[in-house]
Amino acid sequence: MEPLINVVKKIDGDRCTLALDGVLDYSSMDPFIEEIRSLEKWINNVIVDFSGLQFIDSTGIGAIINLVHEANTNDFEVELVGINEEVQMLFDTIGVFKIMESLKKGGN
Amino acid sequence: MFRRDFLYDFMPDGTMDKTLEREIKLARNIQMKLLNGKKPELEKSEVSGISIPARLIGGDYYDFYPLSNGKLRIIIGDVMGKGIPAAMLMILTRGAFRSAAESTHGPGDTLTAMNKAIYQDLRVLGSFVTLLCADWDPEKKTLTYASAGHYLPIIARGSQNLLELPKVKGVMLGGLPNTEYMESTVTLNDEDLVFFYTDGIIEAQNAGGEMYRIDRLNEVLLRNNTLDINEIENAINDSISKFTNNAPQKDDITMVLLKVNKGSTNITSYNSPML
Repeated sequence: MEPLINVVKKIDGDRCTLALDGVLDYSSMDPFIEEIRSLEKWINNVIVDFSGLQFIDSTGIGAIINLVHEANTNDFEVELVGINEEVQMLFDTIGVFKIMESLKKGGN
Repeated sequence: MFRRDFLYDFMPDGTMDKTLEREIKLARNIQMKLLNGKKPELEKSEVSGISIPARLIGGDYYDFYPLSNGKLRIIIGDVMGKGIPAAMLMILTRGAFRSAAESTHGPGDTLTAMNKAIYQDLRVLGSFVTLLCADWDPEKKTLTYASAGHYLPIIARGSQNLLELPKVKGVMLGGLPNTEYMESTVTLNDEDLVFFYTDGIIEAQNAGGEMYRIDRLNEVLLRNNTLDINEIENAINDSISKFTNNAPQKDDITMVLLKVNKGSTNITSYNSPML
């Protein structure tokens, strides 16, 4: 059985891109969590590329929010790119962008 | 605690499963009873709620809290995750709501107080809860609402109109500390239907992986919103069941309906676990 998600990691200097391909949900998020946990210490910028994302549930969103909080604690940047209109609306409704903005301004 | 975990691991074959199964069933009974608490009585309106867990127990939540000023505080929410972990946080959320509803003036204040109460716990656990809280005033026929990262309700007026509510944005509980939640108010007409829901409805899937989606929901609401509140609820349930055709669901399905009537008031609510 093929995995529901494939996380492709690319490192360019202090930038790490995690490209998601598939479904990021309750049953499939472990590979993504593993990549986050094993991030190299010199990484200053994590880019999560949603271009290949087919579906994300609340657990997947939780993983993104936890990454954002971790970035705030450990002083690195997170960028979310390749988000389609549907996920954009979902993130906007739930407050993902507001959290990113607030933490950037020092709202911890 | 650790000793108990240790004992589970070394029970003879099968015993652990039976013990866990029994405990899960007990947990389900607790959740079902809490969701089916005593319902308030209203004037000139009816409310109804239903939650169908995707598993034996779920993380969706709804509640009604009658206020001393005659208003009814309604809440619906979705805890991140599934099954037992989500159910545990659902109980935490319920406690926070019951406590905050008593001491806060409006739905925005309620969400602010709830976030203050459980933010730290949710952050430590890496979890969050989306909630929509609303005060229904049956005398003035106004609905004041605030959102903590949750979908706004749909208002169906007659068989033609779906009203788009003024947007109020707010971060989910567990997202940021010291967050304040804005409110907005709308006045409802007689026969209006307000439909609160969780994403398990629009993301319900059939065997082919196709989702139910908002368009189907809107169509069913418009087709049935002149019916009695229980009939509307049944119509929505039937539509989802027909679409999913017994395909196992990934997410809990929860809805709360508020119907403004011209005449007398009835309250109904039930909760049906999917076994």
